[in-house]
Amino acid sequence: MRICIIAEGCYPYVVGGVSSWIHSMICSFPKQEFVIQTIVADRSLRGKYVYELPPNVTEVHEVYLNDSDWGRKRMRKHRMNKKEYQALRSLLLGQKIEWEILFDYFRKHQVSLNGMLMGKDFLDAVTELYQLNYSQVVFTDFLWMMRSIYLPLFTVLQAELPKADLYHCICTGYAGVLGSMAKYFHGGRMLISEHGIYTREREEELIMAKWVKDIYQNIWIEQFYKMSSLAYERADMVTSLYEHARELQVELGCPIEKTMIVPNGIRVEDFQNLPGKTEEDQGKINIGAVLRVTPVKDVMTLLQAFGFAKEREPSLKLWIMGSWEEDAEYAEECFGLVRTMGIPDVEFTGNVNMREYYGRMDMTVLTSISEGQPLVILESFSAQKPVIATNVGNCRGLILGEYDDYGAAGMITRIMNVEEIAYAMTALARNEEMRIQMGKNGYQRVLSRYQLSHLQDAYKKIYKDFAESMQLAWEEEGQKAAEEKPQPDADSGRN
Amino acid sequence: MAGVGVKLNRIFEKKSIAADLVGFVYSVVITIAPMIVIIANILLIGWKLGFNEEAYLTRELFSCTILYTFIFALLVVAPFNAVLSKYMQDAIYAERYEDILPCYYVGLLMTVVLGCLIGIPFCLWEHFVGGVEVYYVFTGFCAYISMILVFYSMVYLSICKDYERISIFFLIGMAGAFILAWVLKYRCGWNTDYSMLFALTSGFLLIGILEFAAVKRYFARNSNRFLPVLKYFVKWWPLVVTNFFYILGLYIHNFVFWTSESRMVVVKSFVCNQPYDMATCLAMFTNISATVIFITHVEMHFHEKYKIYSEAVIGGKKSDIESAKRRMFRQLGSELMNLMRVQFIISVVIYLLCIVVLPQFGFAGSVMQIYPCLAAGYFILFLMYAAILFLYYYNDLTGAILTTLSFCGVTFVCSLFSMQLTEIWYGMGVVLGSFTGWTVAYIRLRWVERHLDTHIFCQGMLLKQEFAPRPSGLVYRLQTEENKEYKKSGIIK
Repeated sequence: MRICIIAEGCYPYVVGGVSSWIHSMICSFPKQEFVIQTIVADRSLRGKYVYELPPNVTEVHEVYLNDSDWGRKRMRKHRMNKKEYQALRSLLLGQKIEWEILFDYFRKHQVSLNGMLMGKDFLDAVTELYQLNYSQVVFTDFLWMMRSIYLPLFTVLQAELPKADLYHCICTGYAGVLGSMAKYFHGGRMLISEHGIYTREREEELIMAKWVKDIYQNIWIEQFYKMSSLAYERADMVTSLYEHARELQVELGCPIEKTMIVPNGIRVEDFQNLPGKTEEDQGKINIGAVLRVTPVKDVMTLLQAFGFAKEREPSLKLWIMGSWEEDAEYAEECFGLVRTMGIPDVEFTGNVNMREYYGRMDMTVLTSISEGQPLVILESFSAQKPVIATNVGNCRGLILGEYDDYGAAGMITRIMNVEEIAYAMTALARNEEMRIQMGKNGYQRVLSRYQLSHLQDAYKKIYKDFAESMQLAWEEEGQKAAEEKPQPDADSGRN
Repeated sequence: MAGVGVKLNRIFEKKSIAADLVGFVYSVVITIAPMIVIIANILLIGWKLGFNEEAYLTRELFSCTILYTFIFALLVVAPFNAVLSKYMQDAIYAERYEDILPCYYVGLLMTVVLGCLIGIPFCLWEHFVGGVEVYYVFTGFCAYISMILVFYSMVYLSICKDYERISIFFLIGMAGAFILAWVLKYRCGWNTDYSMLFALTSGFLLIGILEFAAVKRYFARNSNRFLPVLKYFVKWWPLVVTNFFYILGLYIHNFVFWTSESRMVVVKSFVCNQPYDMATCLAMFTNISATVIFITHVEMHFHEKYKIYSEAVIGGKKSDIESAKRRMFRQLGSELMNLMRVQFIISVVIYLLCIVVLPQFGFAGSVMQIYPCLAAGYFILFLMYAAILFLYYYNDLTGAILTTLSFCGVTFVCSLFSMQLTEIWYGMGVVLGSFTGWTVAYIRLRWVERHLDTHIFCQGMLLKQEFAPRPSGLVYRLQTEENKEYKKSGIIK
């Protein structure tokens, strides 16, 4: 079976949880042919992969959200016919969007994006929307904001897509649009595997964003809702990592019969027989934070909480393991905070081999403001370490247990709550017995439900069912299907 | 013309025929004072030096040299001036005053080169075929180049709204020419015609130098950025075309009549049709005030409405934009009607004066037969020019090209036909050409009104344009025997 993975801004360009998941999925099915359709920011990223592509990846296709307007002739202002205009209007107004007509329009007419967005049809449709709902705002600002909102979508609609039997989108959003479009043009099936809930994540980002305010935030959010609705409507199956995510998908318009929960899984055996504490660690309680130093991980709160906890429990030491190149400015702020507050025993290691460090930790911590089902918690459980995590995504379910009664495997705090995080650090540091018990609980939990083999089995069944529904031959994978070469995500910072 | 505009508006606000006439006198003095000074000076020198006692051929050669100097200097300067003015206005708006001197030099070089390309072959012809002495031909050529410098530099000073200074330079230049002509004739013993030609050439050169000095004084700093000026010509080429056809249209009917049987050929080089040329000159002076009246009026009233509309576009609701647009176009219509009303009164009065007074000064016969029709033609022509200025306001260069092209084309074709008619209908070419041009401009203005939203909101580009097919999104393909070709072509890594 030829499977096209459609990913947005992750694999194979950056290390992270989702990238790692995709890579292990591809490696898990070496007898299936994979094609990767990626959505990246611009052409500067062309071919810059941080993963070595497995041999069953036969092609990589890229779409750039920030691209030039290509065409042999000067800007062509192609006018739409009545049906096409109605489709554009329906898209802008969000009323029964006629996506097929839009797909055809962008495919058949070799539309110039300059011509389209600077053209009369777009102006008329925007004016109509403005008169209906936003007649009290500055028109020019409104028009330009609409252009900037629709530019990436129209760029995506122009993409040439590879042919495949199954289009496996790793999120909704632009990937969902590409998947829907590919299914429309080439047939086949469409599967969405959401790690976080894309629409909600974008919504959270937009609410916090400084560059967009008031009604424009709502318009942007509506835009993401439209794209998600399309993806949910066209998909044959939609998987999520945990129950609450599934509920959100249904709330966002995904038919419940299409949904399915497939939790994350990791190779537990990789975290066995880890090297333990060193001489350096004597008398120290090590807290590990495996993360990229970025705002979404809220490292500032982590540092402040650690500062307070350290005052109460001087034996604490914080290890921040992960890269800081992604947002150097934020990282610099974090380093500055450590200096200003004079917090001792904070170590920024950068990217390291986590297998050398997990054994030395007494607990791990994750203070993110947004997560799905973090692999770092599962890794920590595999290493029998308790986890302190904010109540985002499936962290509560993982730590307190949803489907078992093994007991708590760490502590849950509210997001950005310095006091609660500091308290949890102190509490765990002062109670070794509890730490050990929680570590064991976590280990039992990961063994029972979150192993890579579980994930592979679930997707094997899904893929196989799709193959059978299309009367395609399904070749069984060998015993060592899941083995893969060490990749960048074997190190820290995947989260 | 802000200062001029305020004064003129005070006059026109009285809304009486007398006020219109006073306004006319004022605007004529402002616009054509330099021309009047030159013409008056030529007449004065001619009278003082006894030019009428010269042989007929000598007189005609001198007249034709001066006529050609004027017409072709204007024609040469016209195409580039619009773009250079645009560049200069943009530089002033952006306070890049140091960019104006490079613009002046580039424009001057281009204009002089074009002038030489036309002038030198003609001068060679005049000497070798017409048999005119080298010194005379060369002096005529110098007068022509000096006149190019004068007209060219005038644009720069006009933009600085320094009309008084321009008039003073003309006065100084012509006073100098008058004295020099007298000295050459009576102290050095030169021929009358050559004394006059040499003195006028020196006068023109003096005016040009004074203007150049004034430009250099205004814009002392020089950024030496010459390339952006040339790039403006690429970007604003329609302005070159528009201006060229407008000026060509102004004279093309003369060129047509220079081929008629009543034409006169001097020294096998200069061709002219005196009655027709004289009637053209009178018709132009009858209506010339329209340009100033219009520009000043527009600056005072329409510009205000245009500004309100622009502000609404930048920061207003759609309803504000729509109402500002309605008001602006109402004002536009009223400006055109107002111009027609004022100019009509002025033209009628001057026309009657010409009909009554001129025959007593020897203007009669053919000239006065041709004049009425041409006066009507020029009346429409200047209304057309007003419409073109409105098209410029909306940046509708296509409309401006269509207008001037149709004006020039129809004037040319219809003049060929009107040449066959009786004298009284000779000017029909100009009437029909101007009317066609005006109609095109008016239709185009209405079109702009209907499509203004598209015109305003759909200009420019959002993304960088690449003139190539979209590169394939395929960036990697597993290396197998079949896809070696892909690798060779660089599609895959």
